[in-house]
Amino acid sequence: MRILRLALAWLLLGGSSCALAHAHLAHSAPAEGAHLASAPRVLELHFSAAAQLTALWIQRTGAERVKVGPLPDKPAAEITIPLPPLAAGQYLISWRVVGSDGHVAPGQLHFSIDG
Amino acid sequence: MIDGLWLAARAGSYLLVLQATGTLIFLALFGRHFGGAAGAAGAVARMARRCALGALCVCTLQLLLEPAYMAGEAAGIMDSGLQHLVLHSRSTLATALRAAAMICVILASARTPPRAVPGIAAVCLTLASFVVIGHTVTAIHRALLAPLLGWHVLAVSFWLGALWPLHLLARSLGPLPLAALLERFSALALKVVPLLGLAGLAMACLLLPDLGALGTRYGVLLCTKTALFAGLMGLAALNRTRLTPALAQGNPAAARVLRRSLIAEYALISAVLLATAALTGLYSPDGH
Repeated sequence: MRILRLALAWLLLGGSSCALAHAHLAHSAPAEGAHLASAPRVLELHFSAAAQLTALWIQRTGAERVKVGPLPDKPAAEITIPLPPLAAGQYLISWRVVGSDGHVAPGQLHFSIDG
Repeated sequence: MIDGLWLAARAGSYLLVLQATGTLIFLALFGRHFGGAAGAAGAVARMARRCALGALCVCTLQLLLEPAYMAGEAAGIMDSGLQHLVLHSRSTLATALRAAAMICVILASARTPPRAVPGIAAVCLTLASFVVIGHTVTAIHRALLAPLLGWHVLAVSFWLGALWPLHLLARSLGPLPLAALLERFSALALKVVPLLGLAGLAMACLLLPDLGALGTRYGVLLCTKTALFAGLMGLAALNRTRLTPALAQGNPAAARVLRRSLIAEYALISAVLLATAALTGLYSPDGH
């Protein structure tokens, strides 16, 4: 009976093994829709809660998307990733993160670098 | 491609897990009212076991696809880091609970009437597998949302699990015993189904930050799900108000119409579960 009560409490409280929370992008650098005079060297993603980044790509308009890495191996709310050298153009950054609700959340942002 | 496969596996696992458990519930509640149809209870028990076996396969496929979905490409399946992440995630916990539930369905339905202990364990494990994962886990009103979700899942399982057995029995039972069985099922469904809708409404109220969230992709899918649910209620009302009385009057043609109506209900519930798989897997109630 005691085990049953403990199991019920664990289920209701959502378990204890996952310390992450549901995460969405709070802000970033470059920001969504930013027009930059020069190419950024790093990408900063600030999530509403700690999240595990599982995939990150960058795609210049008209070109193939390229994987960016290495990715952090631990969950974090603020993630900084070095970017490859970027030429002038419009870019799409896309990613996937896993939050504590167990779901994979995709996200993306756009920015451009003036020529 | 991978995303589509993952979503299909997710929806398929919902469908088969809920159907297997629901068929077992139907067998336990109504098995003794199958009348003189020879072997009907055995056929329904076989149906539950087949659904459970199918669910085990689809749940395994979904778990295998999870690292690929995280990586956004098929190569993710072989990524040891992502495999490790999946292994320690709530997805694995939910899948393990579902697998245990399906084994219990197989054990419980190995004889008719079904065995009580594995049968109750199957229902509890199925409910737990849905409660340990998803948006309700991190919501502020977790203590309210968990029982609401549990009830919601139980009611869907009860409804879904009755459809194929009723379709099967509409072939083998005569109009009068079929009408009597439908009367018994409807009497319980009339109590369960409205509460299913109310639980869904209460969860939406607790999860959505404001009415504006109905304009997000999550909100649109939620509205789609609600519209499909309304269609289901319409079909259920048709069964109760038209077809059951026609069967009670001994009209054999009503059984044929009933079978079509049950197939339509099944298709609608499948669409609801597909919407739910997308709703809970791809989007968030806060619109992100």
